Amino acid sequence: MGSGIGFLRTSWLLAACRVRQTANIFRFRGVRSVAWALAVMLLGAVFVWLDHLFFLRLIAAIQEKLEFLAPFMLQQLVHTLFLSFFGLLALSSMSSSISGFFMSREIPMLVSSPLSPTGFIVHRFWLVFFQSSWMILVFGAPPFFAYRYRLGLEWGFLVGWAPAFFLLCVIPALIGSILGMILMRLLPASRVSQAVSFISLAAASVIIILFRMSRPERLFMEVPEEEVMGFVEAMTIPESPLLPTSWAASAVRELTNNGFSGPYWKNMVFLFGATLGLATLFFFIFRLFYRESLASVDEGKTRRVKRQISLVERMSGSMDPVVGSYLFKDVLLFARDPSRWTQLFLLGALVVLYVYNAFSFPLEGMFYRNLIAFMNLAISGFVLSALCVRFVFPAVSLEGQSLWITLSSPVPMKRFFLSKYLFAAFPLSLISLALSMGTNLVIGVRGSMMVLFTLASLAMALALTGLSLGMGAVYPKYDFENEGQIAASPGGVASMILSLGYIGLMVVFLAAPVYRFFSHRLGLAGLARGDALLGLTGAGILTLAFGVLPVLAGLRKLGSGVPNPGFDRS
Amino acid sequence: MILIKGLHKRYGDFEAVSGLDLDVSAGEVFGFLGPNGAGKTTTIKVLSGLLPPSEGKVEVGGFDVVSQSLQAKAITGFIPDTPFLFERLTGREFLRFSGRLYGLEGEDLRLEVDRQLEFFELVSWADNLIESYSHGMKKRLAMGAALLHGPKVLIVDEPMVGLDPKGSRKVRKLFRDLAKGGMTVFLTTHELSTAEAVCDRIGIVHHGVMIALGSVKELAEMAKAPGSDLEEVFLRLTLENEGQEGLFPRQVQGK
Repeated sequence: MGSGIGFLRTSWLLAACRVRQTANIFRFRGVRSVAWALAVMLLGAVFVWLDHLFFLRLIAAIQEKLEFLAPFMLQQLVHTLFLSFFGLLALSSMSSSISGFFMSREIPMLVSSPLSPTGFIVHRFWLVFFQSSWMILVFGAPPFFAYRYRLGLEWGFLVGWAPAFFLLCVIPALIGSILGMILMRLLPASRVSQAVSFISLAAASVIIILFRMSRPERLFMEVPEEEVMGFVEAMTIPESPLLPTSWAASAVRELTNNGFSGPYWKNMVFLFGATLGLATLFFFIFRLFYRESLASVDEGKTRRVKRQISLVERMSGSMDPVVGSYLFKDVLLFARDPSRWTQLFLLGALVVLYVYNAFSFPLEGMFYRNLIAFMNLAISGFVLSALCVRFVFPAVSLEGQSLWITLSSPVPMKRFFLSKYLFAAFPLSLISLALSMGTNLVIGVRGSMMVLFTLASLAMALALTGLSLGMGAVYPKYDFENEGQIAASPGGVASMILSLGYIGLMVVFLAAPVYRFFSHRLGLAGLARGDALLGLTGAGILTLAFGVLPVLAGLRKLGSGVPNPGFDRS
Repeated sequence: MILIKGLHKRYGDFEAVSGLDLDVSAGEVFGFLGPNGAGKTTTIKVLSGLLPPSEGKVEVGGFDVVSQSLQAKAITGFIPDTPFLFERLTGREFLRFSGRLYGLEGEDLRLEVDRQLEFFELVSWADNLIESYSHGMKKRLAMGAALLHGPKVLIVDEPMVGLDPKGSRKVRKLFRDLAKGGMTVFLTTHELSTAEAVCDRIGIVHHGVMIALGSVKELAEMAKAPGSDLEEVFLRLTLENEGQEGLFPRQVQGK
């Protein structure tokens, strides 16, 4: 990288280019994209509001239930939030920095331009920072607004809190970027992103499970006097004077108790000093390692795979050639892409928590057990919806620029879809059954309700797979840098909304047979058998409609060709 | 073997191909030339089944590409300009995958995969992931995949892009040999020397319309530049078609 263009001009040019790219999305995609952006912002605002409400409720509960322990518990809450933000940001920044500094498609063009290295570093760092931390910046703030409100603090509290919060987000981003830069220098490039995604998701899974196992619901319970000491001990977050999270938590504590006092400024100086020091270190490491690490990105790509006719190919060999070929290909691509399969850790953590929650319910009597099982059906449906949008919706888009292979081959689209459907429906059905049957067994639901809930959860898995697959073909996103962008695309959001609508309607239709069952067992006059049958028939028709119609729409869309599947227009 | 009658292809208000007529025989190497944005790739997309025509009739080997698309695709091999492949398959795995899509199985598939790997000099890379291949290697792999099932028609978009001189020479010879064996080769290229060397006939398309069609010699006569090379002929024909001194007014079709 030369030094033909100065720092300020480089920063301005790169920032202006980024702004122009964003503006062009609205300029060239018209009113619909503006409407879409407004809708997303509105949805975001609703979530921020819910976030705020949740913390208002949580802080109020702590104040009411724990009384004299409340100030201590609120400090622990602040510290826990800071610690969670810090950990999440350090992990996500490591992976974002590898992508932002090494893998992004614009890097070769930028590096070969005579830009100021400092301008380049600053520009890329802020990109990495906002990519990895925007969610925490947006959703991490409402708890502190709620905190200020419930404690009756002045608005000045937020003025003092904001820089501490911001610096606490910048520090882990710098640490993650430094670690990413060092890893890229030490390990083969092709292994680094795999290692990072593995570590990140395994760590996230452990954090989630540990958080749940700490039984945060105890915050809402009365604590008997004799258990106070044990409770305080269990709730105390380990603290170290060397950790930025401790400085930030101390700064907030000082702001709460004494306003802008000396200790507040001392902690702010620590935070600012650490930021400056880490920024200098990052700059130094960047200058030392970047060039050679960047070169290793291409050099490290050579990967030899053991030559064998694998088990997967032998199994798929006994199937229809087209369906078998796609299944074989999809299994191999999934297995060789750690960014995809490492997400199974999170999924595993989710299932563990799900069943653990069922164990934690103090359920007495048939009515409550079946009521919870009915609610469980809806909740597992929401979980399935999320999984479908994340894993099934991208199925067609992931063919991406290689879709020309399918479209130019004598492959009936139905069989192409069938392979995608089987690839997704089988594991999703297993997960759905595990969530539904596992939980129902734990809480003691038996007999006809068990059969009904099991069949319903299976039907939901099959319908949601079809829905997401079809929507993914109707609204594909072939241009992406990571799979998450496909799920977050407008089509992905629409698919999620439809999935949730389907789950809601299923609950409504299934309420009739469930209500009849209860009435019958309790000896009360309930719905007639016909109403229950009507509900079941409605649920069946709904499942068919949501599962099949989107697939047909997807088939029609792919049949009409794709303007740019794999090669440029010339 | 390839029959195009009154082909129109529109993207919204923009008409990329306007009333194209063409007939390419079995065993012929046909060069489809034109400036950027002339409609070459759109025509190729329609021929290979990637896009349906807005209007008109297109047949490959007697099969309509819309109503008999699977039969048409089954006898066609297609090689795009920039072959985006499944980067995390090995070359061998990709060829096996492609072969099975065309109905090859078992020993036939294994032998054919080995033959293509050998012909395109990819044996030593066969078990490496495609993400480690150079552009030229990916192109050669895509060619191997397109030829695996012994197609009757080969459709190639910019065959020489990414190939080294040795590879280019080999591919030129391959096209001639395939044509001798009865295969129809339909190619687009900006490398006019390639077109001149391998094509039996050349069509020049501009603004979605065929403005000239014939052998290099016939095109030179049309351009009133006998003895000139194809580059000179191409420039004269396309510049004239811009409208200033039109030897060939914009709507004139090739024969």
